Amino acid sequence: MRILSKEGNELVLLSITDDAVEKGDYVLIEDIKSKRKLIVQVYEEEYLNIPSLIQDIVKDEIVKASSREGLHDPLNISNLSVMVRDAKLFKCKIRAAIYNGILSNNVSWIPSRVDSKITKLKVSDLDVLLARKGMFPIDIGKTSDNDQFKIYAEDLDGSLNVITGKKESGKSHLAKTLVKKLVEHGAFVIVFDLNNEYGGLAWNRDGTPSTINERISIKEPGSGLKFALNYTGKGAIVNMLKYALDMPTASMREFFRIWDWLNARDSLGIERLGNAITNWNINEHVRDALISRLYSIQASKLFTDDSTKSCRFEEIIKQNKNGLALVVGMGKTSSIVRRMTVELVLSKLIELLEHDSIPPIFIFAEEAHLYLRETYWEDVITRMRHFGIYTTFITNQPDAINDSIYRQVDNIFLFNFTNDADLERISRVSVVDTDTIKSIVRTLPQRHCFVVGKAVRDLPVAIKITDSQVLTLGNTKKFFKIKN
Amino acid sequence: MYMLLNNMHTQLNLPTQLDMIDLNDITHRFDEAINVILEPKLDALLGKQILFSSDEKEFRPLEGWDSKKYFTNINIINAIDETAIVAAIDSSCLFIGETADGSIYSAKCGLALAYRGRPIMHFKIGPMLFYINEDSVVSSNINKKLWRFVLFDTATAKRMIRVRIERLLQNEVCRLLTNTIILVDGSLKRSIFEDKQNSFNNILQNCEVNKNKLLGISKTTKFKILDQFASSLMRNKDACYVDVSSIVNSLTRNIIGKPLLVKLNNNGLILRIDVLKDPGESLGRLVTNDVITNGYPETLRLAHHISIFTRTDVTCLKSFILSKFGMKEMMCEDVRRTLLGTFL
Repeated sequence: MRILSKEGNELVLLSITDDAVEKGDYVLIEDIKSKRKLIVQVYEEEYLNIPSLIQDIVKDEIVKASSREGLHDPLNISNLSVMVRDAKLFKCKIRAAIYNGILSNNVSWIPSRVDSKITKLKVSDLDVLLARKGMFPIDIGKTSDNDQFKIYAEDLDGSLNVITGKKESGKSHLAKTLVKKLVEHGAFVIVFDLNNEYGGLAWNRDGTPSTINERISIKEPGSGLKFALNYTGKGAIVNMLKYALDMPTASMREFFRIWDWLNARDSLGIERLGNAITNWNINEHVRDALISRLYSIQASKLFTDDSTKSCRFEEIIKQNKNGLALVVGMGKTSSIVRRMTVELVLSKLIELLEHDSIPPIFIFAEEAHLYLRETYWEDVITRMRHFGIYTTFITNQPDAINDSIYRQVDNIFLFNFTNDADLERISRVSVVDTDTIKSIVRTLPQRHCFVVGKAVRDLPVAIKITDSQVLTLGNTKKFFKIKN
Repeated sequence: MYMLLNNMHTQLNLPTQLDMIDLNDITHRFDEAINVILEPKLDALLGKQILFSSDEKEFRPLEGWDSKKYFTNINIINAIDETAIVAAIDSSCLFIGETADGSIYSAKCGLALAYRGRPIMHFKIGPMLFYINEDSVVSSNINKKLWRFVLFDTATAKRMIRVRIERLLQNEVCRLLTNTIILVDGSLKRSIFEDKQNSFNNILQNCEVNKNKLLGISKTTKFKILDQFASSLMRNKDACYVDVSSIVNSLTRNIIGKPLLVKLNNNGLILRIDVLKDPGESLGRLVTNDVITNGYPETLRLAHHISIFTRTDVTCLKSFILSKFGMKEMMCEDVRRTLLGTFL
């Protein structure tokens, strides 16, 4: 390979021989004379397009099409000609430089075209340069060199992450790998499971229990997931009424009075709440509003008056000191119950974290825009991180996530997108340049992911996600498959 | 001229020695002398047809010259329904570079075959490399005086290489194929560069033995007078030819066979074609067995295209030479450009 040109932070390399470099790979350019090195990343691959070369190719094809060809080439020049026609240009972005073996951001110099040695830089070698280390590794896939690629649980700790890509590109697959490994490392994870697919984490593909079989708890709103009113507390209930059930302020004031009155008598309960609303001396419109919300609460079956059946997060965590994945299965619940559940869970978790009753929690939220209210987004990136809620959003609609979220994101795991609007959106808000995102993400094969952010020390890496060891649930139910 | 020099004289502050010279006298004598050594004869242009040249290329008038000066006997080409292979041979040679004591040339050859009006196959031969230096004279069997031309003149060297490899291929084709129409680029004539093994005489002999018909096809001719005959052929609606052997033989000596001016199809261009004998039969079989486009045989066109060098070929050859022979490329400069420069 040779350096052909440089413009801005972009280098163009010419490759005549079949160099095993692909989009997303890193290349080390070593200026032999100045002993400096430059790390560049290939983001686009093109043919060497010289008009005369194209003319030759067209002419050759016409000649070959007109009659059968015989060739006597004593010097084997045609082989060289084939090499020239196959010559490629690798467009690269300059990512970093190395001075005296130390990585630097100072890339204000250009290497010699003549005296530069150009070699592919393995991701494993890049890791050494980046000093990417940690105590809790998470193997998420393989690099183009077939080396195992790992990130560290510490990189997800205290971070906001986004996993995005088009349908069936492998997002959930990666999310499950992350959940499993976090739990193996002793973390507490809550998954808002929209397709009831994370239950498979408990089992291996061959039907044997997985390493975290004992540490998976699947709870569905209304069946396993129920709360006593006195456990959830006034704040969580108010949030639920306000944001999930759109209760007006006037009605809310009356509800406060009823709640306080019941609480003072230590008689909080759904049935008693219903009686109080019926007998409370209030405007009939307010009563109607309260009753309709009460019916929704009752229909959700999220609440129980039996405190022994109430879900208590701090106790669940205490019982699973080695880590836990609490999967909130919302596949069969209505959208309103979904919203109520998420409001309750998040409000309660914040309260518990405020009082240091539980350790920090990792939340995995699939298609969060379907159940997370607008105002929560800002909470997620500001307040919640400080309390100890570290969220990973998984979505196939990048525009469902607010720009302000993207700008605060620590790690983005990008899967394939072919839609221009999606690519535009992602590239606009990503920390990596637009050209790289558009070119690499567009051509990522299934189960391949482009990791951007803290986990890779801001030097993006393209990887192939490892095949899942655990049972895959949540596949699309197909008519013809059933028929067969 | 006079005005120009006079103006220079008055406007510039010239040295005294120049004051002694009568510039009027010089310009007057110059004008007189020009008329003696080469009379411009511009008066003769009055009212004539003209064909302008561009980039020194030669063109032909689309509808021919408006001339009725020459009487020509036009023969119609009748397609003869007899199958035959048409083999066309062409080559090209390129000056690649030079060393302190010699020059490197590369050559390519193309052979295209057609049958019953359809192309069958083509062979690309080369590129081949030749290093021409003092030592090569021994193996070349060319006399030393001629070799000096080859050594010092690239055009002559290229001609020699082309003649030799073309003759070799022509001889092989004539020897291996029978009843074949063999088309070669250019006129049929002997060359001082031929080698004994593949001389034109050997080729003619093999043609005779194998009943092959050899045709030399020239795209252009240096004999301007032939353009006047071309005009009368152009006006003819059919494929036709005229025998111009009497004219060509009066202008040059070493022509073999019959030089003809030929229009191979009704809207084709006029070519000079040299045939050994039976022009009607040779041309009649050619138009049956080859595709004629714009009056030019498709096989010869294909042979030409596969034998010319592309820029990629040249780049590859240079790389090959550098890597194979461990040569060191020297810095160079364009002498004309350095000396004359540019005003822009």
